[in-house]
Amino acid sequence: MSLFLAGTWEHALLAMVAKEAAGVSQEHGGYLGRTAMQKIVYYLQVLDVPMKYRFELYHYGPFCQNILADLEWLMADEVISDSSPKPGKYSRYTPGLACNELIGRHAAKLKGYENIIKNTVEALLPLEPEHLELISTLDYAFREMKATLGKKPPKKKVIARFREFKGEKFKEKEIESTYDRLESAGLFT
Amino acid sequence: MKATSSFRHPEYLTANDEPRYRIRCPVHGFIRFSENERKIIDHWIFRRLRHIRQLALTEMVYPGATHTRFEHSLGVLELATRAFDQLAATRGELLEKNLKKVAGLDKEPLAIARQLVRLAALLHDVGHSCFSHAAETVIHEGSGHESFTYKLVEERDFLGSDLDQAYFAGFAELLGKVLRGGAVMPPQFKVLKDLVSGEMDADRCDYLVRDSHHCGVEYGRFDHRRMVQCLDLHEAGGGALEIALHRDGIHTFEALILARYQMNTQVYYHRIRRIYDYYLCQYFKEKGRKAFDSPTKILNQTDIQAMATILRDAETGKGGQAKWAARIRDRNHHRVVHETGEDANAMDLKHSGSLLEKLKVQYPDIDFIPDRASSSIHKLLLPEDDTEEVGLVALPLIEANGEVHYLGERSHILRRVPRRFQVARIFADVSRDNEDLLRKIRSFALDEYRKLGGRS
Repeated sequence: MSLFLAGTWEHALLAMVAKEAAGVSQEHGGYLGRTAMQKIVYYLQVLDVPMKYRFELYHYGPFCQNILADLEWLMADEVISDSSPKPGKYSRYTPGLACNELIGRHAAKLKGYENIIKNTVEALLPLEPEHLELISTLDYAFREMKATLGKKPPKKKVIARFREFKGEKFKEKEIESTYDRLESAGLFT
Repeated sequence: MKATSSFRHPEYLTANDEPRYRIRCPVHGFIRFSENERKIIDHWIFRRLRHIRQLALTEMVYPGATHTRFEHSLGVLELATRAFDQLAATRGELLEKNLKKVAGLDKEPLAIARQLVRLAALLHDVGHSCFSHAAETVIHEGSGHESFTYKLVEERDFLGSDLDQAYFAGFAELLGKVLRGGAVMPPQFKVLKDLVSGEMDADRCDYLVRDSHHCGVEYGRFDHRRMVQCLDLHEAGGGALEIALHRDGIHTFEALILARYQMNTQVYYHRIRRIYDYYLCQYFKEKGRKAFDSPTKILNQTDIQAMATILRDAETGKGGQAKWAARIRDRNHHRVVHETGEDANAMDLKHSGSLLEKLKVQYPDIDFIPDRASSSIHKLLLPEDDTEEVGLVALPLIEANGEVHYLGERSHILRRVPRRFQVARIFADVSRDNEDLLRKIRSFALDEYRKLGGRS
């Protein structure tokens, strides 16, 4: 298999996520849809994995248009396949025939991030898309408020900002307990 | 004429921020700047942009395209300032109220914001290394010139301490936030960021008009002055502000999108420009990462230094890089034997990949190079056509009666312009004295591509 289109570091990252997700999916369930891919890569960036992707907040949380475009190229090169029964409407990304070839090209650099990628995929993949939307939007709201205030923002302000994005879509209790879990995981510092 | 009761003149932080110097720009006329800005413009990190061409080796196609990142950066500073002053003059109160929510902007928010916009515009490309975007994937592997820009602006060893000294402690950090955008930027800065890089930004407006001017083409020209006059603000949910367009500006905005589409197809992704981008990448890959493995090394490379090395390598013929250097020196390039349409989809891309395999089997002695180019033309939400809103921008359009609609609802032209330009090409190493062979390969490629089901 020769890679025609794919080859950048970001492409290799997406391929690695797809590969890890295939393993996690078998053991713990869940699948790598569009939302999961976006949110996993968002968290990889939060955890300091270098990448060019820039996330902005859209209807279902942090989103990067370039990831979608790159996935199209990766599918054209058979690095990633979409095994969704309704492609176009939903996606279910799985490793393609050329996945290992691309990963191999960036093996040395990927090795340094192997554990972060593995742990992030394991933590996020089994979650429902709506839950992924909740935690990633909450994270985004925390970072925005921190940038605005210049210091760690109070929980109340973060949740108020979250409400500005999401309105009444999520229950207060659900938001608060998610906030507490993210904070105790050391993500809100 | 709009009501001017709330009109505000530009506000300056100190006397050293008032315009004092001027420089002549071929596109915008005189561009004025202050004593403090002069320190940044004369800083060696910024000054190196005088020796980095805006369009790399596009001069192989358009000989006039030898202008630099230096003049473009000054142009963006000028346009972003015009846009900011337009908004501050007509909607200053609203802007001020919004900006005061950010820590450090409780006093003189408009003066600080104006300075942030000017510096963000001036420094938005400061992270570029030699040949701008052309060899970026090799030089800035895994991060891009943008990340390098943030580093240069924020870190004290580079521009950080000079910026803080010129303005105030913490200025470089605030500027970094405007440039970075996303979750690390206070949402109140979105307006400032969008003036520099957004859907109607100063960066695009300047490079389209400037690149057209220097290339000698008309594709990128549009009435950017009119567009600036039609900028407005809209209060979105939660009190956040976003840039809006007054109804009168709809046609200039459409012209901007068309300019972007045509400049992409005719200049930025021109087939000859693309093949020389490829040679530059291969050249630097062969030279090895060591040439760019530290910020100092990246900063020390300009087009002039890199081109001197390329010519020397072409001359000596030593090392794997020499063949690419010779190609650049001699303007001896591979030629296109196949290209998809400008709106290639995933299947077209896949068929191009399959075609490449067939070409390699059919012509085993010929060197083929695959290429794909892709660029976003616009991200505007078109409510009548789009079933999903994710990743799209609903740009507010202020009607004459004050009602707010979305530009995508009102523009018939935007619905016809593809959101993304995407093309896949295959180049072959066939010399100019072998036109028959070139014709044969092209004909074979076209037949095979059609058999595969690809669209031309």
